[in-house]
Amino acid sequence: MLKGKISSDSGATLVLALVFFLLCAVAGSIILIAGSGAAGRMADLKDDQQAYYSVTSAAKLFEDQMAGQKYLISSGGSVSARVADGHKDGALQVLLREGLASAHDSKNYTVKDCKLRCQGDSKLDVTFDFIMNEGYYVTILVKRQGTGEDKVQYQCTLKARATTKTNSNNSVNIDWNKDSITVSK
Amino acid sequence: MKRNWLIKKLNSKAGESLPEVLIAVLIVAMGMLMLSTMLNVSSRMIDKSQSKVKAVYADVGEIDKKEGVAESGKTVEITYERPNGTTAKEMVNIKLYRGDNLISYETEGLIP
Repeated sequence: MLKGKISSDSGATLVLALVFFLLCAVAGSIILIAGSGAAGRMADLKDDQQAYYSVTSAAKLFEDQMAGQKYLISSGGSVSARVADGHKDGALQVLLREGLASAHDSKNYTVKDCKLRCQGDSKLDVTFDFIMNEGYYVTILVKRQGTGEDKVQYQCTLKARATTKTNSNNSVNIDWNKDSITVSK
Repeated sequence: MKRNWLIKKLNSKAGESLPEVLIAVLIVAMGMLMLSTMLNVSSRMIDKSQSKVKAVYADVGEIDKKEGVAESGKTVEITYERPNGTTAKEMVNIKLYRGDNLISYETEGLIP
């Protein structure tokens, strides 16, 4: 009986219709999944682009603030700003001064989780880590946190190598100029 | 009695063509309707995504060329806890560049 049913053409239309339905369902699902995946990625595009601007704007601000900074470390180890060419003692001055004093004593200086808050829009808020090594080599790691815990949405690193000159009285001139500052992802 | 009827029904090839075809047509129609709906939804999603991408890149162009709405006189506040435990705060003047979706800034000067 079963053999007869299998070889029989009766009911074949229904089977064909069901197969067609299944094909339509599979094809439709694939298209829909691909479409919703692409739409999801596009939704993140704006946030990712904003994170990029928040981080690069902050890094450019630090670059502008550091370029042209001139300091003097006396033979006794005290740090003072050498204000020249009308350049003011700018932001990051506390970090730079303390970093210089620490580096002069051959100690690394690290300050983590510094905050940069923007008055105009909280979308521009970032955090950064400031590190000054011996040799007055400054590294600033700028980060924009994502929504998840410990998730960094975008980050970039500013590296600044100081030009040093030891004077006859054993004091040291420290200069940062724009050419010695690099910003990389 | 009932068993005999079932066996008869299974062995029979007659009389089911019309309802069978009607049901098959219904199933095929449902399948086609589902596929076309999914295609429609998918194409609307693609259109929406494309317009979002266009808006974002239009903003990127505006901000990179600094053609967006510029707002002077804003500040950023930099705060950090020093190794000795005290907190330091510094302010920097900035100029904001605002697009429809994105926002950027650059240094405008220093607050002495």
